[in-house]
Amino acid sequence: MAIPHRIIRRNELGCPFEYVQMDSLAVMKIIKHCYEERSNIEVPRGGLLGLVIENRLEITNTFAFPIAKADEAVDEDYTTNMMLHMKKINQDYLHVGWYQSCDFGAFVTVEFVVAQLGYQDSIEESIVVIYDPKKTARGFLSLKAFRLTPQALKMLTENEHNITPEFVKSLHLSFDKMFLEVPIMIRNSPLASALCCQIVEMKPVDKGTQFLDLGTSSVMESRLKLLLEKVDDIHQEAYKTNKWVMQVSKQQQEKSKYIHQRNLENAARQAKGEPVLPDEDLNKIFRPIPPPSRLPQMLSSSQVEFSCQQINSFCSQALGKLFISEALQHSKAEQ
Amino acid sequence: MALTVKVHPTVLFQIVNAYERRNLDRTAILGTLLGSVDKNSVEVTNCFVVPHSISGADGTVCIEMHLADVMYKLNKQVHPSEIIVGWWITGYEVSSIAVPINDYYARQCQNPIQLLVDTTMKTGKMNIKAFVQVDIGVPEGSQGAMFSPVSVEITQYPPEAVAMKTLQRARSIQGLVEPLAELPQVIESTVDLDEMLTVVLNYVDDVIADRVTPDNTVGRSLLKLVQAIPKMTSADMEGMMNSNIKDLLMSMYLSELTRVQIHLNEKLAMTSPNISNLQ
Repeated sequence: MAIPHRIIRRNELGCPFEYVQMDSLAVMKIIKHCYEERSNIEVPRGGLLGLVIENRLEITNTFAFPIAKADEAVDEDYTTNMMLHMKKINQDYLHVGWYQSCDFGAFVTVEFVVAQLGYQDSIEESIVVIYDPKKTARGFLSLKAFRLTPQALKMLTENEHNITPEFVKSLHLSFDKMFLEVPIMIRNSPLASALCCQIVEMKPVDKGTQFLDLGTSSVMESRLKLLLEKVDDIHQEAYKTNKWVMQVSKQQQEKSKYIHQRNLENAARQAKGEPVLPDEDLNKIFRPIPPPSRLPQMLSSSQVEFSCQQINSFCSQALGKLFISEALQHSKAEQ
Repeated sequence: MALTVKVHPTVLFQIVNAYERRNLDRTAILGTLLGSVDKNSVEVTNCFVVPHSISGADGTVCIEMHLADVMYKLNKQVHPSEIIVGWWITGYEVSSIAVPINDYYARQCQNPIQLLVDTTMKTGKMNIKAFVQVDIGVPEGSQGAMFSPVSVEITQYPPEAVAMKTLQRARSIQGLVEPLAELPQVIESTVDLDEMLTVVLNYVDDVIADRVTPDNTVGRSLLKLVQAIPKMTSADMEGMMNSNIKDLLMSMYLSELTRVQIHLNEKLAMTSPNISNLQ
């Protein structure tokens, strides 16, 4: 499984473990919570409980966050109460991350980044699990775990309100190096495996075959719409950057013109023998215009990258299904 | 009254997990069932553990009601529509402590369901049974309570069904499985389909060669199967296939193009000449 290669990659990207191991219980609870609350809350969220063992992060239980009141991101009381309770019933009570449900994986927003930053600040090994309910409803279980890379952390913590282009350049950071995806494995304990066998007997698994559905237009429409929105955002940001660049160059020109005029005047006065005009602080007359923050553009680019990858894999499997149905049709026609 | 109990897989997983994490001096654990009640069915969607203890001599049971209360309130904050519908216990058969516990839960809800999950697997299977308390006895004479069984079935939300499919794969290989990407999943089910078709074809060959007596129901389902392929002329089929393939390929091409342009945009923005001129 190419483990040595992974170890090297993980250590240089600041991730203390190689993969995330989720208990089947955690998976089922996340799915249940997001399904039940999909009409009530916009973005169902919850916390992950578990611990780090050897080279993996085990997630053994989850709990849901109540709907946030006002502008609090997470209800602290609820979390503390929940963890105390978990301790009493012998569950793992270490809060190792959080999960969020996002339609079609559209999760890269500023609040997301800030929340994950908060978590990684306080708990070093925290991750965020993104669950895509629409994709799972179509038949493909979609759970992904992400962390912020160390460079992204540095960029966000040191200079939160002033993410200028040179700062980003100095960190060698581009949008595709902001997030690190950690592979997820799902684990069943032996007793849970026995339970699975029992459930299969009681309810034959002929459900869950939605992924063989040939219809693609609805999914493609929503995905492409999302892509278009993000590309629009990037376009806006690029326009702002260009405008800023033009303003700066205009300002430069005015500055040089002013200096030139000053020098001329000074020369004229010297010729007449009058005192020279004092040197004024140029910065007060020509205030430096702050550059627009690079963060929204980087986030949108990152989101576009993820969406493109997902579109690709969706198209590849849709093509596969089309070819299968073609083969079946041919064999029927040949009879 | 024909009551059915519909259980979600999440509940069963939680029970198994709580049983695995019990204190070693316990042989059975119990807890509360949450869900919703319909006309003649009870849907159980959530549960939590309630620690209990049995004091030795007279076998009185005490459960930590305070903990149960706190947990129920916390749950209400997140899932406001779930109410207490009963309680669960692990074990092989209904035990004598069931009566007092049922009494306690009868105060919390109308007709508590007792869910018995056999985690000890005495019969080699994990039996899941449900009971309702029924009062028996002569009105003026001795009274008693009996637990009559009710039917249990497993319901799943559509995404839960999808997850169960993945979890099923985890039961064979040391318990660890990676959720598949999309194309490999389709490939795997194609392989399954191939195997199933082989079995069916062998059966048909056997029947034709008179090695196996034909079964009418099987024959009828085979007929349904063959007729399920939609009747289209090959020209129509070709047309539909081609247009779909064109759409998908176009989307793939455009998304790749977008990716390349995004990367390019980033590089260009970084190397803009005015950046180094800032003072």
